[in-house]
Amino acid sequence: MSVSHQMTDRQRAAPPCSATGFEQVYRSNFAAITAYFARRATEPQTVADLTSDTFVAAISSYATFDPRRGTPRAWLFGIARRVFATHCEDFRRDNDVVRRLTGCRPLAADETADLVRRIDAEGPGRAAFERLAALNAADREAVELVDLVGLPAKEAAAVIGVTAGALRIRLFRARARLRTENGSWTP
Amino acid sequence: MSSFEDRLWQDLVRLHGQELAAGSRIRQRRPSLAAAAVFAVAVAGVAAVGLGTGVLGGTPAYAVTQHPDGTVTVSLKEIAAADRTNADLRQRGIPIRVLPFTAECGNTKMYTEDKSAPETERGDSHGADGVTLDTSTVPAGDYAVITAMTDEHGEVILLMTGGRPAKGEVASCLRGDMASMGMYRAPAWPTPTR
Repeated sequence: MSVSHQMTDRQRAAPPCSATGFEQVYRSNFAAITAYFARRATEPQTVADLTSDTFVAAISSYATFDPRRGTPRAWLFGIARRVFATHCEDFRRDNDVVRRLTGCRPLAADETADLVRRIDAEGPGRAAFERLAALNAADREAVELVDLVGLPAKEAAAVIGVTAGALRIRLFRARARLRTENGSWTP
Repeated sequence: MSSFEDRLWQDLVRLHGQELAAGSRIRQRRPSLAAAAVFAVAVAGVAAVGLGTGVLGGTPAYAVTQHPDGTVTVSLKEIAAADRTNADLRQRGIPIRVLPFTAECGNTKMYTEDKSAPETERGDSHGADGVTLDTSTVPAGDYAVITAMTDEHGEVILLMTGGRPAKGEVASCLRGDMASMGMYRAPAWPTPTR
């Protein structure tokens, strides 16, 4: 379930904040961002919408992305996190149906099939994510980003907006609890 | 690559390509005013801070921060600073005690949990490098316990042990090691950043 985000030398050579640079960010992280939402939703249209919203927000703000403050991957996950929070808030307000009807491009059959494959492939990830349900939201997020997504702790801390030390405390606490409750914790 | 990946990319380029091209110049950020405002808000949001320096030179060995909402954040960089942290907490009337958890500790007794007391809320919502506690529910005479231990990288880890505060004598330390607590060590345990 951990997703490799290694970039090739050719990709690394692209200048940051250029159109080419954004395509590399997109291609390198598309699978991980889709998987992030596929752990939260099993409806292809929902996964498609959340993935689209994330990359629309990313392309719109790419000019302000500052690589000195973190990696593109951490930056994207920060956006995905906010997109999902907004989605939940919309859902809570019962505006979701309206938004779906007014703002979304219908998926073609092959896109739906593609997303269904991705959602199915993320089944073990969803099962692992469900095992985190007993944790508080902060600890759950730390474990997901490090153990499921595969982000280094420093990047995960940047996504959440806490220090690396605080993130390690969350991880330590969460893994200890998962081990206590499940006998082991292997994502 | 996949059909959805490619089609979304085409949509992004079609709808936002010009925006991306126009914004490819990195904007210069205004430095001082925004930073100063953030700093002012941060300072105003903290009621009281106590810092103690240690062998790490200028780095505070511990910090005790009282927040306006009544919560307290305790952070510790050196186990040896636990005594000074406790002295500071005692002096300021904060019902929290930091107990080092080491294999060398001479004390073999566990502290006494106050089973009649409500659980101490825990959290680190301030995003600080430490443990944040709400001590408002700690009964008079009791104290919330934070256990301090050192991991294999030499970094101090603070943990809340149990949810309820303790009562009675405050132990100088607790005897044990990480392995005896059955803590899981993931292979991907992060490399410490110093």
